[in-house]
Amino acid sequence: MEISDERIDGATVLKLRGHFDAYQAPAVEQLFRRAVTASVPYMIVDLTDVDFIDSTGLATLVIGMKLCRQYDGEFSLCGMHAPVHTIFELTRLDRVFMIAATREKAIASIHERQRG
Amino acid sequence: MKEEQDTSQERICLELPATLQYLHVLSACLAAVLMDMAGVEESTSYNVQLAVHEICTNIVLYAYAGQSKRGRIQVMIVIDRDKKGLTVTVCDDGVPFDEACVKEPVLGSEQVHGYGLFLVRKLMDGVDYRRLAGKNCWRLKKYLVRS
Repeated sequence: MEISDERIDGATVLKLRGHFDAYQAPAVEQLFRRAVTASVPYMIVDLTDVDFIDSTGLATLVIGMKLCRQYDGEFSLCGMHAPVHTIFELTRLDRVFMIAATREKAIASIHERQRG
Repeated sequence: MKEEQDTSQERICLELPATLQYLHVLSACLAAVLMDMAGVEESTSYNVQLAVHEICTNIVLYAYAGQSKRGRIQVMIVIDRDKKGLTVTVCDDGVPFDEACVKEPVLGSEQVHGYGLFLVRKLMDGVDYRRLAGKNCWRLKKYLVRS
């Protein structure tokens, strides 16, 4: 899996590409722990190019969300494909995460949060 | 990988090392098999791949946990083109699976782990576990085309 990250308007945007499974999850968790800080508690995970996610991938995203919350930040997901979204619905994690259709909408949501 | 054919069913057998690194090979095989079958939706293919992947991940993480010898995972895929179904049998010779240790996840909570077997049961039409001759054997069934 390819992972790239960039800073956009005070948020870290992490783009994942490929399979997000138990083999790849530790590297992603490490990135979360490095990127989420008191000064940058906003994270967007772009799943547009993720074609597969397993339960360990879900667990890693929950860890990322909790890290952001520790610093009163926001953790959101964007670009989810339908089969991946189904897994979130089955586990009801779609009610737990902020999920935006696109990266732009996720960034807009964080801007609102930062202003508020 | 070897392929055998009889009149109504086709079987594909694989054996892979019990490491997370190679599980994508099995997913790719399942994806190719399902793509070859008419009328199978992308979501169905994804769900089958994920269910089998979750079983294999659990084998790597738990069945062979703490063992110095690297284990193997034996997989048999049976395609029934007449009945439009797929059965995947996954076996290992690691420690016995203990269902009592598996707790249902609290859905909609911020639970970190525990979704694997729950997803397998939700995504497949039949899930069966047996301990046979020193092996854990999971049999997963999926009806591929809804009438």
